[in-house]
Amino acid sequence: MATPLEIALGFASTLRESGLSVPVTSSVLFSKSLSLLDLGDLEEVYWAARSTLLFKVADLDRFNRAFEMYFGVAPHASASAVKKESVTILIEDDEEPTDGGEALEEGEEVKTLRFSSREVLRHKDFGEMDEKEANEILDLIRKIKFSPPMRRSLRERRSPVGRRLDMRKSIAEIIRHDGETITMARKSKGLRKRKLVILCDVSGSMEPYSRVLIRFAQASLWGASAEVFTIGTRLTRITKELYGSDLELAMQRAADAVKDWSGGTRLGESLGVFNSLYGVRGLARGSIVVLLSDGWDRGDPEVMAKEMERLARVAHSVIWVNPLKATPGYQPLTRGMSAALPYVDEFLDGHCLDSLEKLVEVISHAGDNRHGPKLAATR
Amino acid sequence: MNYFGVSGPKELVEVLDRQDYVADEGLATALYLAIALERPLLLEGDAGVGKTEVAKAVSTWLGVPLIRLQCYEGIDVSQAVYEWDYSRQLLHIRTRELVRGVESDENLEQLEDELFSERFLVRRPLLRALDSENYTVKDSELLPPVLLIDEIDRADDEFEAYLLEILSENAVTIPELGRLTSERAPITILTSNRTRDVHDALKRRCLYHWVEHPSFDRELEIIKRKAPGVSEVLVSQVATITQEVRRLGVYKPPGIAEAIDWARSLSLLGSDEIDAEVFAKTLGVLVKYREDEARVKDLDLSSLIRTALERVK
Repeated sequence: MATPLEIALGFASTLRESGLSVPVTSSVLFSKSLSLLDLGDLEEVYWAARSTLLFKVADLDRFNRAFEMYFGVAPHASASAVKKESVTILIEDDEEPTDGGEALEEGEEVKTLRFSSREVLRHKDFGEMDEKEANEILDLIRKIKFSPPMRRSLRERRSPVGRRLDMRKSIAEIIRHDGETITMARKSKGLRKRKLVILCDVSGSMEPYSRVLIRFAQASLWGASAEVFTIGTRLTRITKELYGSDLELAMQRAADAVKDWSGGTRLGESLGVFNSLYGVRGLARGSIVVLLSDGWDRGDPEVMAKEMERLARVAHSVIWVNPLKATPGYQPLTRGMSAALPYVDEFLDGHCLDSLEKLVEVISHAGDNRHGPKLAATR
Repeated sequence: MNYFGVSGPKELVEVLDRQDYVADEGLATALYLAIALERPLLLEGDAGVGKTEVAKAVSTWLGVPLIRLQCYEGIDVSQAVYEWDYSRQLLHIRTRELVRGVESDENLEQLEDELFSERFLVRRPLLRALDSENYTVKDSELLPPVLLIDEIDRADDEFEAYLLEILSENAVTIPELGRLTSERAPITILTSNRTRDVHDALKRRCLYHWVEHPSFDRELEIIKRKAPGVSEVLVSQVATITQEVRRLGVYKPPGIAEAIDWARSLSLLGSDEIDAEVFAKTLGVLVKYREDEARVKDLDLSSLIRTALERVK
């Protein structure tokens, strides 16, 4: 019979082959666990493996398959009940009005434009740009400086005009001055970054803007601590993918992760999935939530309104950025948009570089203003 | 091998059962290993599945103190580990001055040593968990306290990094006093509702277990234990309906805590069975969102009640 160490190392390598990452320390821990248990009891072995080698519930399916492969026995039935991380929402028809915007392919070279043309570019609609301009704009967006939205934190800082006494510092001062109290040090509440959550619509109608807006989201990762999701027919968290010093590579990783590029839109339902899995659980709580979407929703506007209300109830503020808003004579009449509008604190356009810069401004101030989430008085 | 009189996961299930904690084998295995290997145990799962209760059950089983650290946004060392008792320090300075007059340089150094000694140290949960005061010896075995770090996902990442250091070293360093450590690591249980992902480094350090909602049989057993005196029929109905509500995909699936509260409420109101009227009146105990209430009202109540009755037979 194999020793615990042999079993542990063997199973760890099976896991690695199935694409899970298993640190050596964890496989050693598993082998120690095995030596404490009855090796004949495969249920115990299974649970030991799970508690030492599995770090994400999302990996459970793969983990179970690897277990079956290595030990020849499927894990206990109760073990395979899995919570799904992402939920696909079915679309019955995919007929969407797609703007005739050019596909934003990766360019071979980027030429620096002269100042005057850059000025023109600042105000040009992303949807009307040719490939060269689009590449130039991606480069400019990278340079947008985010000043993160701030909130009061519990953690205190030394401050000569602070309201509270900093006793630790004061005692040190008193000792330095031969036990004599001369001045008392003060402190006040510090400032911390407020969470920023960006939800980017990647449905067909947003195609001319998606790539640019995701680059914008990418830029926000550095300045503000943002979480980025794409919504469309499903919800995908792409924060991890977007990190990295090679922006193009990061964009590519994100693009690979998103399975519903230029698909249909179930905005309300995707938003519901976001609320249930992340938002209301805590991610959106007290955060600035930015929705980048044209509000084109093929789902039920009731669902949209309900999910927006849920979101607005936990978020500090909700900012909706709609590239169509800049179109002369635009009225937010699409069913989804008009259902969502009562719950939105700021409604902005985001069709050109200039408007994105304004958005950054709004985000950085959204953190400190006092008004809470705006709740529809209409309901 | 034998740890605190328990020689394997199956025995641990029995021991916890005596504390009225009904554990499944998965949880028991993870917990047993955490105790045997002296590793922290990270429990993740929906709110109300009994993550916190595990720590309480272990503490009553061993008869050791339960030290609880509730995490929140912005928690820091002074609230989690230690702080100096400043008002007493000031008082001490004044008293000394009155007794001895103005201090010489040499005395000042001595004063500083006095002020930053254990006497003026305020111990917060993480430090208390290492304090020999909370360790007991039973049958020549050293029993550590249970340290519950609740809702770690609410704390900031920086705090998590700090926690990782304490958990892996089993020691705290206070600049004025030096390194404080304990002979055996406390039995440490961390819980997370997964509002954000806990850092991988911390997960690697811990044993990990995802706590599911209980199966029908387990739920039935738990409600019976926690709401004694409630009729068998009523408990079965509560468990059946609760399980069904979870399946509806409501915003906030009711946890076991809600099911227990519901059984108790029904019993307090003098109902022996659930009918449509009682159900509507007490629904607020089970589901906590208006939207959820609307969905739950569509349940086929009479067929559920029938199922529950059959299950009791």
